[in-house]
Amino acid sequence: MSEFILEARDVHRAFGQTQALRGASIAVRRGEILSIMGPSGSGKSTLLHCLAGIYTPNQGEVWFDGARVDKLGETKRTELRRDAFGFVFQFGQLVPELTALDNVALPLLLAKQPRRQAYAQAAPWLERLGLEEHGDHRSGELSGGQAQRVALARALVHKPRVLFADEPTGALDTLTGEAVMDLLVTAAREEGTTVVLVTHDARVAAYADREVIVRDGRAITTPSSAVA
Amino acid sequence: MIRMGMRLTLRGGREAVIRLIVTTLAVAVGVTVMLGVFSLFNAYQNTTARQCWECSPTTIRSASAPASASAGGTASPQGPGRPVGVNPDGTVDLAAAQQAGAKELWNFSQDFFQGTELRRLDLAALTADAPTLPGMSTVPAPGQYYVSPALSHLLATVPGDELGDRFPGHRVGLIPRTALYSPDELAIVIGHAPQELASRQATKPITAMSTAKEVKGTTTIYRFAFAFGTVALLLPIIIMVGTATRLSAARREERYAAMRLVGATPRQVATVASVESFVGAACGAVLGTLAYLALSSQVTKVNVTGTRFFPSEVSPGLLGYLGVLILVPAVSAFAAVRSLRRVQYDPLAVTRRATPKPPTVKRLIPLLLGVALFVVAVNLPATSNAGGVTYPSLILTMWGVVLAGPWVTMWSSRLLARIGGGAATMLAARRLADDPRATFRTVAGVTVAVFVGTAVAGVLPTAVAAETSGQRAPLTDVLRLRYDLGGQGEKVGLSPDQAAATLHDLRAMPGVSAIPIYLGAAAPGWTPASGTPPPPGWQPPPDYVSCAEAAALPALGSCAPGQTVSVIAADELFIDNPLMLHLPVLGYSDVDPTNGHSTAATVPPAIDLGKLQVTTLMVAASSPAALERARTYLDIHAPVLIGMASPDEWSTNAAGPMTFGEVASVRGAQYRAAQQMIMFVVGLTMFVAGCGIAVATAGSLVERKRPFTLLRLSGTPLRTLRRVVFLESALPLFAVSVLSGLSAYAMALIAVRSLAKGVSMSFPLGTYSVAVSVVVVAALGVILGSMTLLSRMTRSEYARFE
Repeated sequence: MSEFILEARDVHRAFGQTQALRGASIAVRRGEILSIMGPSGSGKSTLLHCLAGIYTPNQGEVWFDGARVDKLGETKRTELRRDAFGFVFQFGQLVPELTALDNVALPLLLAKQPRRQAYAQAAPWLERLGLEEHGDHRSGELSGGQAQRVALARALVHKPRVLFADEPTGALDTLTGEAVMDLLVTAAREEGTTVVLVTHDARVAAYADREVIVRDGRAITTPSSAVA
Repeated sequence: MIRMGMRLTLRGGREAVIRLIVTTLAVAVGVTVMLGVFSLFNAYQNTTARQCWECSPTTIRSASAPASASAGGTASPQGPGRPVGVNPDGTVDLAAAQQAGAKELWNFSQDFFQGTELRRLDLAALTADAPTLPGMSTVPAPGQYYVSPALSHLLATVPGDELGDRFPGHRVGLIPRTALYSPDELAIVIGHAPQELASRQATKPITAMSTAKEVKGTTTIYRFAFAFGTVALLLPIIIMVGTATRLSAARREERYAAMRLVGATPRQVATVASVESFVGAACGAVLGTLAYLALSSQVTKVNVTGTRFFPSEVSPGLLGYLGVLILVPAVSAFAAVRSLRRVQYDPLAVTRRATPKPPTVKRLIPLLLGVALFVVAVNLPATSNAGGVTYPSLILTMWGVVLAGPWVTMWSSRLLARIGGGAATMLAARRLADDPRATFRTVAGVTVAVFVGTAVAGVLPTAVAAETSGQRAPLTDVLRLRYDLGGQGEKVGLSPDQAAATLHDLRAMPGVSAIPIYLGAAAPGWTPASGTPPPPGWQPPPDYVSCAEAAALPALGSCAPGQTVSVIAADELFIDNPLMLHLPVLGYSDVDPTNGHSTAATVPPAIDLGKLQVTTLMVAASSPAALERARTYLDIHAPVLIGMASPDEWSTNAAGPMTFGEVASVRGAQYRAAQQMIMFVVGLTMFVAGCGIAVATAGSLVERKRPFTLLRLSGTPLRTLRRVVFLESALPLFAVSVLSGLSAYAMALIAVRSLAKGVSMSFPLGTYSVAVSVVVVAALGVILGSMTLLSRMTRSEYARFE
């Protein structure tokens, strides 16, 4: 078994005339928390989306657990996202018509788990993240920090092998952001989940085991965190 | 996923509930209108399927071919031979008829009462199994008659000398519904003794009544118009329902994208989306059906074709109900899935939306081509197949208006941006210019309705008005009777004694005057009785009129000073299309109806009118009651006995006891009925399109709740936002409606100028202005109504979005 659970090899990705990635390569170890940093427009979110199978690269390879992700069809990538990955984004990720508990149970319901079982599995996550009193609240009735915790619970409820977090504290104040990151890191460590974290905030990046800088569409591995 | 879809739809919070309510209401309105149209169409179909008992019955014919047929005439559709039992003077040889197996004597005629057609059938049973009307078990006995409910009401309320005295006998019952095409129809079936009816000209011995359906000249037009109207109406309904089911689509797409992100397959998202749309559409279909059932009694009162339908026939039928209840939700669900194609391939909530390419000037080409083609079509000679060019050009022009709409919307928005200052104008203009196609789509229904409405308002009232206007106006209420077509082609009339007695009685009636037209000496060289066609150059005998008597109707023309008798082109007075009536007719023996060229003729010396037969009577009356009294008198004492094979013969021969106005009315009724039906469809289209604008405006507000709230939070006054919303909806509505209206008006003007030279356009400016104003005010009201939504939606407490 490879040391790396996730790899991007010489990945290129363009949007029309805009070249977002120009040969980015990174490798993520099992169970590690990796932060991807870089200025706005550097291509860090695009790299995360390629790693997560949301985008397919125009050129290069993406590997997950020894299998090519970029060669998978849409259905397989959807199943991969549903079964093996979890996501926390800056905002806009909760289904507004659903309650907090519904949102957390959603990945399990999509995976066709029995309803009762899905909710039984989702409820402890709300409790674990301090949201037990907000289970029947819709996203519009939650604060920014609460909504991010619900998103975190939803991302982890089905025990994903990799958690992708794109600016998870971008819309939060410092204190709330730190609280969310504490919960994210703690939960990930407890579950043994690998985390790929995109941020431009050095304080958030400090939660990571290792750091990769993306600049002009290329990943630059810092000397202190170079992959051995 | 179905459960998830239901959960999102029914318990998805306030916004979901509002969306469900708006979708339900929009679909309900569309379904109610659709069911109404289906009902009326079914009723119309039932009417055209009615047994035409007044159409040509089955007569008995001899085996030999008639002389006229062998001479190049048209053979009878019922057989090659001459009718058996009919005398040369049009009366019946009763013994011969009975010997040949006739079961009944049949005499159908058409009368009028105050401009309304009255169908009269005189019958005499010869056998016990004599045929009768559908739904009636027996033939009325001599001295008895059956009447339609509408005529029964008139007989009870109108003085007998104006109507009732025309019908011998007494009422014994009502004509059953199955024999009538409308509750308003005036019809009577009168029983006679065989000997009595046999002596009346134009009576036929028959063996069976017609079982054919009544096919009028307008049937095909109505079918086409109904089909066209239904399509024209379905367009805004589909747009409205589509808009409603896509309410706050962007927000929903974000949600679906979020679901895709956490692993929902495209099929799962499609299931959720289709369940949401299906629920709204199904609720709307049920509510619309209930609303239709509640309003169905009112629908039966709708007068689409000029006459009401029987209430029991106004129903969409089981297929209509099932079609609406099943197809509307199914199509809605399918449309929802189709609209999600973009999301299925992009699980990120952030959609990379490309601004669509702006519409180009090429979009004007079909419109210009359509107008050019129309100009060519209306200028084609009448003999060529102009219809083959006219209809495609009309459709091309209408399609051209719809195609040009986005281009006009874009340029009007650019103009607005250039001439208008301020943030509101800029915001509205930018949004309109960003996607003019989507903006125009919401007002497309109104545009089509304005086009059709303007064209119809321009052409049909002009045609109707032209028939009784100008030179023809003084003749509108003049009754004309022709006595020279009663026999088998023999030109005979009232004898001098009969004419003198009739004229005496008529002139004794208060408010009634009469002008007789006399038949001159037969021209030598040919007689109709010879059974051969007239030799080349043979001229029919001329008609004469007394100059003193003709002076009562100056429209006919004038005599030279000192002249006492004039030749008159009497045949011209019986033309069935008043538009083709060329006046004056005095001093001419013939007028060519196609070009109005007259043939002048002089009166032979020493002519004595008192010794000539009267072929025509012109009767003028000072009031409707006096007119009906005169008509009743003539019906009894000097009836016009024209044999009619079918009701449509009337409008083609136009030789009955009708006023010139009634002749125009028969033709005008077709125009008016068509106009009424088109206006009915246009009105409904306007209504549905107005609802569509309401839904679209509300939808665009919900869609842009976030930017509007942020604009308001950042200090943009509410009135500025209101102006933005108002301009976004009102500008395309106004700009494209003007284009549409002007195009249609231009086409109507071209049609009138080219097809009816010398006739000025009778555009009902008042009615049109009121109708357009009502529509514009209603549309603006709808847009303004959404402003309260804007105010509530953009309150600062709603500034949080997740």
